[in-house]
Amino acid sequence: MATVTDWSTTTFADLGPIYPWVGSEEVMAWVAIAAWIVWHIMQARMENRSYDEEVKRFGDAESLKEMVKGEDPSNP
Amino acid sequence: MDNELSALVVIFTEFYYWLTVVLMFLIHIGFCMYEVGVSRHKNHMHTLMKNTMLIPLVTITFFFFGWWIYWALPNGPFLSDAVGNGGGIDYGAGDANTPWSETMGPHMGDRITGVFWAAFLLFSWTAASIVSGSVIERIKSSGFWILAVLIGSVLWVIDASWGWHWAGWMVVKLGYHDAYASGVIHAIAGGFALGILFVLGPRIGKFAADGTPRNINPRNPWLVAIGLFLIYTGFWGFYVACNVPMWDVQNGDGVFWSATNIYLAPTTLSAITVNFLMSLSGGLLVGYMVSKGDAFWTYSSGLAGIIAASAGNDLYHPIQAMVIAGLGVLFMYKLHYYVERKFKIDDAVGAVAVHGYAGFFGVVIAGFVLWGYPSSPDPTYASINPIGQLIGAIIMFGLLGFLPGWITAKILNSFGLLRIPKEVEIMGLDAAASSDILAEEQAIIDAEREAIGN
Repeated sequence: MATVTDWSTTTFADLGPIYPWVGSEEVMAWVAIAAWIVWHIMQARMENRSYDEEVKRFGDAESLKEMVKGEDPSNP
Repeated sequence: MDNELSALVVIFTEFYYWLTVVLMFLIHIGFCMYEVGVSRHKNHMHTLMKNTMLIPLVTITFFFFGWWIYWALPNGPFLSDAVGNGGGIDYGAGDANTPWSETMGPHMGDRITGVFWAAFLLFSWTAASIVSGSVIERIKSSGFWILAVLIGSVLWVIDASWGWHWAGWMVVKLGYHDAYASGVIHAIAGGFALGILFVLGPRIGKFAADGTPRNINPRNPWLVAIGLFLIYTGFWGFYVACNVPMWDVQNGDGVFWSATNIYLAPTTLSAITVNFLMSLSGGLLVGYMVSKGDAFWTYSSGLAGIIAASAGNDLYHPIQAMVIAGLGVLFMYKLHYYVERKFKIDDAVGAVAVHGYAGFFGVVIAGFVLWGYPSSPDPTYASINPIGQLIGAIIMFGLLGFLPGWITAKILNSFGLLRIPKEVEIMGLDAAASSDILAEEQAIIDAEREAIGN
């Protein structure tokens, strides 16, 4: 698994990549790209859900009026 | 790396770019402070997180595909054979910069790819952060982060491949010159932001019923000023990262080592240090006068001044840099308010003006002041000229900036991913979290009272 197992016998001029699992770069990249796309989908759903909940909790006209009444133009 | 002198050159260059990355981090602290300072209290935390999360998203996408774009597309939209490989996509150069290339990881034969990638990455963050400020207090994070990836890991990288790569087709054919990214970062990001703003719409209360714009002033001007000061500081790293620290610029026999601009044409670190300071000063002086001493616009004008002079700051005389900066500020300040009134555009931080208009101005003016200079050490390339610079500015601001921004915003809007609900905008993006925190604090106070028998 380890790309290098003994520094003392290594000819550094001939050495290239030193990270683990050399040769699996493409697999790792595609898994990461897929995870990135999934992150966006999950985040967008989470955000929209939170807005729906907030509108339900505080979005009625009376609650909004109270909030706006509480806004202070000298300390916005 | 088998003799001390060549090892010294390599490791110095590696360290040089690493240092610029560290300095450029300050730009992003500055952007966070500046945007939070401009936003109202009810939106502070959401504004902070919106800007913060573009960092990991642009980072990973720049790794996935942004870096490949820079190396693979200098031939432009298949028009040119800039790199002498028959035109089209340069797959050969792109291959070494894919996310599965060996040199993207720790590699004993390569000490430069990583730090060069990182320096470009910090430019990518900057492109996305520029957009972030203009759209605060009403954009959905999900929509913004898609836009951030687009400008940060795709569009500005295309423009860099075209107008910054040593053999980009805009340099070869148009003589395009943009040493410190007036167009390549600032005009494109400003144009992109403007395209989004046309679709996003203004904040509630920004315009009166008769269309008169109201100033939604910075909520914490002190935080805004310190934020901009940090951006100035980080900008030093930006300038230095746009240079190559040492290169043999002597053609033919003989050797002459010099710092160069991104096009490998000679300049000096000493020269850009003076020009940075003189263009900052020109911007501050004119900004103070046109805004009648307003702190927000004066500080913003310092930045706009640097941006206006950036295209040619590798070559300008310091007094030229100062004057160009001042003229750029005058231009962007007037145009900001004209566009705001005429098109009902709510740019919360003036990003379109400071970056977009000043950047556009900077690219165009360089065509006149540097007319006839070579754009590259390669004598077959077009020399710097006003027409080439104007076309370049239009490509940056319009073709790669405004148009994709507008189109993408329209698409996001059609999917309900652009603007937050009106109720959330009124109550504030932090309202629910603040309410929950308040309830918990009250519960703790009640428990303390109970503990003392009250």
